[in-house]
Amino acid sequence: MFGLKSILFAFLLLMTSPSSYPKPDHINPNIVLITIDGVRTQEVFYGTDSSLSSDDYISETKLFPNIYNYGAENGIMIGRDSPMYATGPVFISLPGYLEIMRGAQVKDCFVNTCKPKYKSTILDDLYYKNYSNIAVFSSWKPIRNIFDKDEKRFHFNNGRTNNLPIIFPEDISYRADEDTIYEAFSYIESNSPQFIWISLGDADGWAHRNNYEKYIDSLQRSDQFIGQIIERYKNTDYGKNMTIIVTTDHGRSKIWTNHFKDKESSKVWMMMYGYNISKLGFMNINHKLYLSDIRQTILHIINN
Amino acid sequence: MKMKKKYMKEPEPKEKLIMFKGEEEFFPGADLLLRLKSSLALIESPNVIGYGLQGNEKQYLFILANPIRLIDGNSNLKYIKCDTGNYFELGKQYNTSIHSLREELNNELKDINLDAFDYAKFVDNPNYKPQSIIHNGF
Repeated sequence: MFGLKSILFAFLLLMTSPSSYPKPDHINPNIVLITIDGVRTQEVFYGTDSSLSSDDYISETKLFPNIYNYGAENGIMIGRDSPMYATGPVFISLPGYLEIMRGAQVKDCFVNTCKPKYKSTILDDLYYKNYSNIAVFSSWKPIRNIFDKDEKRFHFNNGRTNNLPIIFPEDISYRADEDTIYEAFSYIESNSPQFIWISLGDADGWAHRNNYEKYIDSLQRSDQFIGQIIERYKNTDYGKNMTIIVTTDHGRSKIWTNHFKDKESSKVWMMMYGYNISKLGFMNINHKLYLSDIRQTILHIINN
Repeated sequence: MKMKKKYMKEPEPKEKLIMFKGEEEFFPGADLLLRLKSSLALIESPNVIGYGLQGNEKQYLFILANPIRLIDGNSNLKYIKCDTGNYFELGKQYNTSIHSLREELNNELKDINLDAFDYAKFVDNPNYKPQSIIHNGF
């Protein structure tokens, strides 16, 4: 028979084993996830498309100076040497964002008006890892439909409110990226969220309207925003522990104004920079990558 | 001065309405893609390019080109309403600003049958197990 002392000893041993408590130096990095809706790999890796524009060609590094500086030079870029895809079978926004958030293939939503049953997302993972402030900002209102309508654990700020200008008259619930960026920046300043997803959508809106000039302008503004976030916080406690991830929900069809079932619109890309991200530049991995990998990637970043 | 509510409300036809939901993001090249919630109405157009079914709810997808002609498929139905707020009277021909349709869109829609949807058949890697893109050692 084991004596009381033996049981107590075993219990104390268990309590003090290295795996039973967090490492003393472990911190929860601040994750900033930025999605830019419907940005194809053409512009990200090869610059402007001269078949769509009479303006002078803009190289990819001039079009996205911050993504290249922080991703290609000081972080990780995916989508050129290692192709990355939205799983599909339809390559549209809500299924794409669901795939990112759930970290799984999406079998219950094939239209943007779907009201999917709530399934666990990366936000739940972070909540259970004691992330204290989790927020979702988006220009496009249906992003909110990814999450349970009664969800109270997270802060949501999605779509346009009546005091803001209308950018696309066909969708008055859509908020211009400029306003989403302002709201998100203000929230970071005052709340220092440990996880914030900022979803921008102007680029896709202009592409659908066959306005290449404004599509390019939207991309440049999005890149500028990425630079602003990094520069603003790089010398702060918040920024020292910050990882920034930038990606898109789908690409574009061969006819660039569209995206739906055409496999061309499944091609996506991703950039990572900051805490726990090595300087690897353009990664070359020997298997296909998918949007569904992003949830596991975030978990890897916060667990190491 | 605050307006009385009844003057702010847009008058609606009294006849039975069926709501159509636009899916503009799918096919922005066309101005109007109608999703019928039931098969109560037929839409006649030389440019109807496809249809699909989803779940248990019968839904037909159409893309229409100019001009469109709406035909009553049900004697109780006189108008349809789009989510853009426009009403269409059945049986009447409309001149719209709908763009010409592309052959590519036709090809995209013709094989959709979401009612008998076999997910694995439509994706490249149906058994893929998501994993972290970065690993220890990188």
